Amino acid sequence: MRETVLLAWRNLWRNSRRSALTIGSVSCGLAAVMLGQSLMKTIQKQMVEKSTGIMLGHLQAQAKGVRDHRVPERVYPRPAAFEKSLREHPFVQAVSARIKFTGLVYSPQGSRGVLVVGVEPETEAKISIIPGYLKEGHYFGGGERDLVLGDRLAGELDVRIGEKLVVMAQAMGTEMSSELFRVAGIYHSGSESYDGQVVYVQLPAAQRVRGVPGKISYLVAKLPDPELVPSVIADLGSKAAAEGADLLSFRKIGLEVEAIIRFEDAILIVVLFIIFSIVGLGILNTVAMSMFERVREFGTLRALGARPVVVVRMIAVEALFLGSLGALAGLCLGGAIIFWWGTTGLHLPIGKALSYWLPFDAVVYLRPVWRMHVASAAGLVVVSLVSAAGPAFRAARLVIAEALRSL
Amino acid sequence: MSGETLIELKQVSKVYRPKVKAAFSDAAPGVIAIEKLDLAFSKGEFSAIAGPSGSGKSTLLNLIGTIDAPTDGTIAFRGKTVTNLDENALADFRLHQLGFVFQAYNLIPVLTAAENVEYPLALQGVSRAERRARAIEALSWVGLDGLADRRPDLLSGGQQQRVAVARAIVHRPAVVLADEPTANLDSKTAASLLDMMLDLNKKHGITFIFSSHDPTVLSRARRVIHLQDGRLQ
Repeated sequence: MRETVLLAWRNLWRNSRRSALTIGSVSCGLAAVMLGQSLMKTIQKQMVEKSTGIMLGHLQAQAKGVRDHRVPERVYPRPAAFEKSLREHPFVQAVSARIKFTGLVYSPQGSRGVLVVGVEPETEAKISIIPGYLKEGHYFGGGERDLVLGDRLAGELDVRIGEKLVVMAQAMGTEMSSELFRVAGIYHSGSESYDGQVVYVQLPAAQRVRGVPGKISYLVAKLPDPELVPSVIADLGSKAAAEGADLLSFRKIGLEVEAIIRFEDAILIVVLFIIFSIVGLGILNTVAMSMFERVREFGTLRALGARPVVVVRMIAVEALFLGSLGALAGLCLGGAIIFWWGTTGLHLPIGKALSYWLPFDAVVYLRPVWRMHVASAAGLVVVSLVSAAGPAFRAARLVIAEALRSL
Repeated sequence: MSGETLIELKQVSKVYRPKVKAAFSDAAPGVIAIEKLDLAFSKGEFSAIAGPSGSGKSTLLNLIGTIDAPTDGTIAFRGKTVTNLDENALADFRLHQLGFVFQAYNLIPVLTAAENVEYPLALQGVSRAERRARAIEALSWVGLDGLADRRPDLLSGGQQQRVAVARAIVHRPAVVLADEPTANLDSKTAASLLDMMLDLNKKHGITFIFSSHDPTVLSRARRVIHLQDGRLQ
């Protein structure tokens, strides 16, 4: 085997320019794949952080039978025993309760249709990123009639801190209900829909407007890592069910986020396939050229007593060297590019496109996803081997006497 | 010379057919390179196969060396038929029983002289230290002491052919087959190479079968087999 490796290594550098070009193309291909993976995963991570931070949370316990998980049409009594278990779960950082419904908000200057979210300010502040977006006033704290709204809605209603607003909604199963609030804080998230359509009030006041004292739309929980969601659901799903609730992942509630993530993952697979195909053809070309140049040598080796498998092994090791060196160089190149854009930030127009729906930073700081990068590098090495299989088996099947006559 | 029959060819024929589609193969006439040849070689021979170009010398050596298959007939080595062996068994047969010297030397250009000579031993699984010692010894037999670490491109044609001979004998084969080993060498170098092969034959009892059409080369052989149009003359 040592001789095979030695021969393969020296053969690789017989045409050093061709080998260097092949290794370069493999490394550039892998770097492009890594950049795509890092970009997509960084965007996805930010989308998850923003969507879970601004509204979804990582987990929600909603009443069983809810049809629209984004604005649950059903409320239910607070599931006390389950809530205790949820708070005590080692993966759970914070738990809060919310009630959510659509309504109208009136100011002396006008009215707007809004989404009313009743929250518990103290625990909500540990889950929501809205307090971080406050540009005026404070995040509750002044009294039960405090209201926090976005700057776009404040501008449309022409209200400022301390001024009064009326929130009106249909009380559940009865007539319209309304309550007077005072603007405590104005936030700017950068999302047109949140800044122009969502108001936050305290939970008891929202329950009164909705006519459901003591009831909630859902419990919301924050975890240190979204990847932990399935294990918490596995641990506590049955306890939630025992109290009439469904424990749901943010992926099941934020269908847009899930759809975008799936779409991006599908694009990544297509890009991966294209780049792997290009790299595979490059290696096939290099190995095939090298094989045709050395037909007489293969004949000589076979005449000297090398079994066909020795020839196959030698060509496979050459391809393995090409793929491995290319993958190694690609990991370094891709890592350097990701590190660079992870430090300086990459300006993307995608922030504008997403801003209606979610707050999204226009500058993304790329992060490596080493598990995916290393898997792609390993995939490229496998592609190299597969690409070399054809020429290798062809070389092994050469008629020795004919091969020896080859120039 | 013990007189033991090493190689025996019975009614061996080789017809080269042009590569055409199967449907037309019967119509393609083909070229008869060897025709119903009966021939035997004994242990310790120093024999030459002579004949003009196209007479079938190389084909005959290829058939004896099992690097080409006869169209008809059988070839036996020490009484055992080798023409029915599979690829791996043939490779093992060549590895242990045969040595080859080619007209164009056919050294592996990325290996040094010693590494080229070691290669058959490496295929046999001989340890590094032993095969290096045996390669150096074989190189000294062919008069190439001190050139073990040179790559083929830094050796003259005569030196390369000597390395090829060292590679052919290093694993102590029963037979060395040499196809026009002096064709690419000047007359002085050719004579020197033949003297060396004859010396190896005498001193170490290695059987040599080589082909040539050069009368001065053929004059050194103890037995000359004349071929004409694939038949013995």
